[in-house]
Amino acid sequence: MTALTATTDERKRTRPAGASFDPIFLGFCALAATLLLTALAGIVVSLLIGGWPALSHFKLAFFTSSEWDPVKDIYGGAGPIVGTLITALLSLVFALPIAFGIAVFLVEFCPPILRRPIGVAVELLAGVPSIVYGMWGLFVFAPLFRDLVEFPLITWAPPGSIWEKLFQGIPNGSGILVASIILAVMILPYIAATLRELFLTVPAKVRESAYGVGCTTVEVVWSVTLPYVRRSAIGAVMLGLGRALGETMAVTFIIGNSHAFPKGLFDGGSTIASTIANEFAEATSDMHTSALIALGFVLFVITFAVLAIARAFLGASKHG
Amino acid sequence: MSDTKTEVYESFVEAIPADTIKLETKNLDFFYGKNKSLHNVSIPFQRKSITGLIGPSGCGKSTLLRALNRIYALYPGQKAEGQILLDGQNVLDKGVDLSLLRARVGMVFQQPTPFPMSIYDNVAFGVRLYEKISKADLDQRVEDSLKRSALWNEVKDKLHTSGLGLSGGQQQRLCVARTIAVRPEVILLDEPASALDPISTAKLEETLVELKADYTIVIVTHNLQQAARISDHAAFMFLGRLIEFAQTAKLFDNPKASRTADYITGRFG
Amino acid sequence: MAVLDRRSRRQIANTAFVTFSTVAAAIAISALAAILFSLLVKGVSGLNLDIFLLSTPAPQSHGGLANAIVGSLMLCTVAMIGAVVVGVLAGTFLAEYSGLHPALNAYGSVVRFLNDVLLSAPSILIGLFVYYIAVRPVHGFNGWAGALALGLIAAPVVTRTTEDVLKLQAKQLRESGVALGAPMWVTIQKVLWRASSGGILTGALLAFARISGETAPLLFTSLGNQFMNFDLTKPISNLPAVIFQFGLSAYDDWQSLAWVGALLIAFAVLSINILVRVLSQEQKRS
Repeated sequence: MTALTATTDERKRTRPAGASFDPIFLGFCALAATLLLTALAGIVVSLLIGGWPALSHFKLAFFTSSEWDPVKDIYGGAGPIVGTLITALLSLVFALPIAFGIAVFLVEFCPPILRRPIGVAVELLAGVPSIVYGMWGLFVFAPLFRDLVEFPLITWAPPGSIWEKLFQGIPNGSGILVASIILAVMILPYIAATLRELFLTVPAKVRESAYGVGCTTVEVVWSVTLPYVRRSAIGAVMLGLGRALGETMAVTFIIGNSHAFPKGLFDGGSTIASTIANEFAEATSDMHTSALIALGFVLFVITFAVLAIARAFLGASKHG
Repeated sequence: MSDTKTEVYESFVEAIPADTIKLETKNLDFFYGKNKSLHNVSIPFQRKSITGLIGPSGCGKSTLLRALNRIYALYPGQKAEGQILLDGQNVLDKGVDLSLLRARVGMVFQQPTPFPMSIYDNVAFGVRLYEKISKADLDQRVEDSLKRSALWNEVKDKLHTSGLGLSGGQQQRLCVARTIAVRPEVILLDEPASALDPISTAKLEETLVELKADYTIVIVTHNLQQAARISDHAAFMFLGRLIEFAQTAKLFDNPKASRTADYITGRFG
Repeated sequence: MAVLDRRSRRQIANTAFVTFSTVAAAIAISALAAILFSLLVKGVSGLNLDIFLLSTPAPQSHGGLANAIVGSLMLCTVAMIGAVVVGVLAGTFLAEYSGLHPALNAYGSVVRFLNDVLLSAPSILIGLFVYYIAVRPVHGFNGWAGALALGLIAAPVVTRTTEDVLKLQAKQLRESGVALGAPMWVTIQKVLWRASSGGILTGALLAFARISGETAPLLFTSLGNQFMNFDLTKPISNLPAVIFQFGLSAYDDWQSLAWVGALLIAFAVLSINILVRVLSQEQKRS
């Protein structure tokens, strides 16, 4: 027992083993963090350097012209750029209401026994790899869409009407619209899951008092829940948009790969990601390669802007 | 008996013989950023006895406790000025080795914090940091620490099971064992029983009373009865100032400051 | 026409909304069900032992996916080793060290933001970057480049989850280690990492699931290989690239193999996700 009460002089104490290792360990941790920074910087720099020949050669025409001709070595990226923006925005238009509906369903009136399975199902949907979406989109969804939607719509559209213009294109089940729909299915789990988490942060008392005053469910959601999480909800939506912008494989399978401006919803098109995926390995010339990388740089800038805005709305602590 | 009156706050500090002082603060100020939360606190802690720090929420008792082992150094922006003398040497000096300071001044927290490892490894953790002793000696040290924290009988057959599997009261006594295993001179406890049920609390209090035979103990407590039960000296603090310090019995039966009397009789706090 | 009074209008609006939300949830379930169903129907028919024994064939001949499976496992494993080392250290920096000093704090904020950007960056761009630093200089596609690209995608995920789970640990746990006089790194390694090990593991599993399905970054890095290859300095086969190539081809047997590959990947990813859920539940319980 006396071993525990030796006097100060008798206690033989050395500095803890490895005390001097502290700054080194901190160094390792900081190094790892810096590696991530460096990687990102490297991406930006390499895209800029690689794309510079094309950007400086074609200047503004790179963004405005859709003439993409490897034979003549002329590259205008408007087709893929516009295609990227259209498919991403369209997919958001489709996905947002559904994701919102799912989140509300899970939070407000889902029977408790179903809550977990449906929540799991939504999360699993988020985990499906994009190449699986690509396969499914091309071989299962496209034929169905062609037969059930495209043909009927094209035959119905009155000649000369705006509908005819909207629905023009070869009805083979691929194209801008189908790609947007597949994209929508891909991003809706993310948005739904994040919205649901946000809705759950509304204090129960606030919602209960709204119900207590006699509000219907839609009124509670519209006037209480949404305003409470409005800022973060916008951020969540923008994150979904960011994902849609960068999606490659699913889109490559189904978008039809045409560099021209799509004129109708059923027309083929391309996105920046699908163009790079299709053409990079077999790029015919240095200018071709540079044009592809320049497209990549444009995609990065767009995505970065969207992510930065999303961060601003979400606040620094929310995860992607 | 000396009493010094500051501008607004009275302060009554009963002096104790200088050769019995193990630890004391002199003119201690503490800052959270620009906010000053301790004002000119001078308090002695007698060796081998229990001193209780009492006062309402926000009075600075935890801040004072955390200054004593400089655990606040983990957080930039927190700063102490003045003197904290351990055996006459100022621990606030530059160049003081914080690790060795904390080996001499141990701390037990409000929430039990067993490490995610076996009971044996928990207790041996600190020892292994400082001393190279044989396995047999280490076994003995672990056993002694657990015995002194009144935990040995309950865990001697399961030393290699996880510390997380113990009950709250047992976990807290494990934390005490872990702290005394490194043979400190002072033990600081920050409301150690506030998360425990009454029976565990009683066991913990019993343990502390036995430990004071060998250690200088400072305990922050919200529970006046607990302070009255186990402490030899008590310090009442208010808004970052030391209002009164005296032997416990005197402070409770015959407080000199009116604020002390108000607090003890439950008029506020 | 009878004018609907206010109350009925509200009721109708509510009913419409409730119906809509329920339909939305049904859409999500049916989408998942449809995808899984197609995978099973089209993939199972091609499943046989040869898938795991034979390598990818030339068109119109018999073969399997063995080299692709092995290649994917190799790439993902190497990628994860790097990603976990970098990610845990970086996450530790953000959670434990950046609070120690205002300068470190500012640096930490920048790292955190750019980590999130890297996490959501289009993976094809990461592939382009790695092409430039790891393929071009050595004049050849190789497996190490592919692993590097996958690692760059996985590392931010591990960093994120490590930081989150470390921050969840009670402040007093960290203080307990320090109060015993332990050096910071000992407290981190022996106490905090151990306490967070469950969360770090699930983060790593999620990152693994994510990269096992990634195709785009491998297209210009490890490319693909018709044969079985264990040498990472050469092009190496992998499941996503095979699916891409075979799926878009005109050959029936290649397409059938693509479906089997899709089934295998989807099965692996979904199993890992379910495993992560189970582990998280158990962690919550303890």
